[in-house]
Amino acid sequence: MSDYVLDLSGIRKTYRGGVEALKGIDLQVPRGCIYGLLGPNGAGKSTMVKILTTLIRRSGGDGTMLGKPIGDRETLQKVGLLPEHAQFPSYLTGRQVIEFSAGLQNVSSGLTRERTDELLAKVGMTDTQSRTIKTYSKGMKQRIGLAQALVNDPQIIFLDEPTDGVDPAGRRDFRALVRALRDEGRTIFINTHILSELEPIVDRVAIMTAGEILGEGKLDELRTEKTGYVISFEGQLSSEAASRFKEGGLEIEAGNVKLSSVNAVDAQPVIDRIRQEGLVVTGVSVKSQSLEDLFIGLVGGDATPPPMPGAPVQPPSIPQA
Amino acid sequence: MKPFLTLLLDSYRGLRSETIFWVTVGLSLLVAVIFLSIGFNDKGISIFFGAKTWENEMMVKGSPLAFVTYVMIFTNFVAGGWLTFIAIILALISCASIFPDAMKEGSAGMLMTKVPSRLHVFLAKLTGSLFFVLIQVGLFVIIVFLAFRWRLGVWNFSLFWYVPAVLLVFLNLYSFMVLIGVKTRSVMTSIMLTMLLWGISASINWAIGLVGMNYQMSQYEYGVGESVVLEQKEEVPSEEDPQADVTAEVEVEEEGPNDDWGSERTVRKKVEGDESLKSWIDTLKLVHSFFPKNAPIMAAAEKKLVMDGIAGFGDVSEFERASTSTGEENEELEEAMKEISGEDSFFYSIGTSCIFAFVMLSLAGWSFCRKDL
Ligand SMILES: Nc1ncnc2c1ncn2[C@@H]1O[C@H](COP(=O)(O)OP(=O)(O)OP(=O)(O)O)[C@@H](O)[C@H]1O
Ligand SMILES: [Mg+2]
Repeated sequence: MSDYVLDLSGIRKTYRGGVEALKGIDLQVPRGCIYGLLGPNGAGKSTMVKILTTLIRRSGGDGTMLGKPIGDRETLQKVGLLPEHAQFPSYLTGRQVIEFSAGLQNVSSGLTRERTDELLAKVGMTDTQSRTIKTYSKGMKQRIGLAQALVNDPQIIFLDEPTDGVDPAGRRDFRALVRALRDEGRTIFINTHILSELEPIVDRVAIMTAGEILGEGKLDELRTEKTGYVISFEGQLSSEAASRFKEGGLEIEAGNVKLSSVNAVDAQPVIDRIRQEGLVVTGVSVKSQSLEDLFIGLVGGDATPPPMPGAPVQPPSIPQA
Repeated sequence: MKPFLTLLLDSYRGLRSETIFWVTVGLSLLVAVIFLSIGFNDKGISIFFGAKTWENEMMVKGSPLAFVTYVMIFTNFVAGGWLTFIAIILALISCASIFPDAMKEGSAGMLMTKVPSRLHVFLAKLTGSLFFVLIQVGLFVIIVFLAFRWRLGVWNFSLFWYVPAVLLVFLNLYSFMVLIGVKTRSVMTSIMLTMLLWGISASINWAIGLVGMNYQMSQYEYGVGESVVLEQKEEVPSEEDPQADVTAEVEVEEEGPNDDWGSERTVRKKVEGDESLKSWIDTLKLVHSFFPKNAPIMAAAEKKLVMDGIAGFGDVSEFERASTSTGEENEELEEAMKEISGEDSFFYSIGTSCIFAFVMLSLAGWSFCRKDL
């Protein structure tokens, strides 16, 4: 048996109509971590989760989830899912949605009551639990969606764009909740393209684009390069100083000079030079590469979805006479 | 078991949340109560619990005609109109969205990623729909059953044949609707195509009846003749083949109450029927065997009511005398008609209908279980 809660090799998916959404994904997710699957729109993140939760069938490849082949019904009892564009029966109340999910997952009535109360409190929906779903705002639905994904005490939780529509306070609560879930030993698998969301909590990430994984690992491992001091100042550098900085391999942009070193000694001459110019240094900080930089670096800033095969290629526009 | 019950409960809640559900329940009750309000008194027939009375001394309380009228009102309007037609249409519309809704991306993520397999989800949704119809028709028939007791003084248990009959008719159409719904995920398309199927099926059934009648008529020649000569049956030698044991039966009508024929008598002679019509009937019947057989199923239930029910009505002879369709000739005609239209092949109708539903549901279920959502 594999040590990983998820162990996939060569997962492929070609949709009807020929869209190749996944082109052979290999992925190992260790137990008890927060795992982020990042990628631009149309990268195949949701496709991946749908395959793992049996909503769609894979075109190829193999893998296990919690030690069982993917698609195993019994395993799904230990899985929680907040689907993308989740839509709960609109005639149910928030509480009933959670109970419905519990019923489907064969959770006993006693446990259901207990956990529902607990989860409603965790997602901050205790007061609005007896209103019907159709009266909820987007973020409220998302909160209920999160609660219903947890009611069966899952070991692995898939969250597809979990904070979609959730307000800042809700996001903060969400992060705390996810951390708590991890500390209980569960694995949380989060799909998102909102990177700031993930950055503070994620343990490992995989960056995916156009159905392929470009990079995978611990966030720290992925971003060792490109960190350094950033020195901020007020005023205008003389062109002579600017060209000297550039020769020295520094980056200059709008009131900031960036070094590629994290050694404080390397920063001193730069500060001195700026002060010699008669400018005021307003800040010195160590800038680590953000997830966003990492992401843009790997994906190449090309966040547009791949064109559909067979879609007509736009001809170059001919200027009208 | 618990997941299955959860799914059933959800189906029920889903139905309950729709306006059409309450419209259906309301109309059903209304029709039942109107029927309940029809009664007979010393002057004639009354409706709305005696609010309006049509005086008719033939139809006073306890008269044979009152009996027959009541049964006919039930078979023609309540069973023939409401149960066979409107109630089924309303039930189909109520249940049309169940499968397409379950397959919507957002809700499928909730329903089909859990312990119950897709087949379970499919069966639970199907059971939910059938339950809905069962309860509705069941309640309706119970009210009618009580009405029969109240107005006619009999417990007519044959009425309950309408419950499985309506259920089977519904299942036939619904199975097709589910297949279309699963394939296209469109509520509108599934309703439209189901109505189309119903229309085609009814047309074929009607055509079988029509051609059948013509065939039946082509088997006889009518003429006017001398009673003396024709009083007995005679052998008419066939011209082509004298040895053939062809008996042309010549019958003489008794002089009826209708004196249009004067003192002369109608002569009916059985001849070889129009064989091209017969082959038409066979073709139509073959085609119809691939369609749901709604009319024959409802006719079977009606037959159960009238045939079995007579005993329940007490005096059989009273009923027969009052009834207009029990003349000897009519009986013979009916027999022939049944033979042609296949109406009497009760098990044929039920059997092929069940096969139809089974095939449709298998295809729908297979597609439901395999489809990407
Ligand atoms: N049902 C479908 N039929 C055909 N193609 C599809 C279908 N669903 C998704 N695709 C295609 O598969 C690719 C991956 O889609 P997917 O939904 O997995 O992307 P995603 O990474 O979740 O994007 P987003 O961030 O926008 O949610 C896209 O190119 C999309 O057009
Ligand atoms: Mg997605």
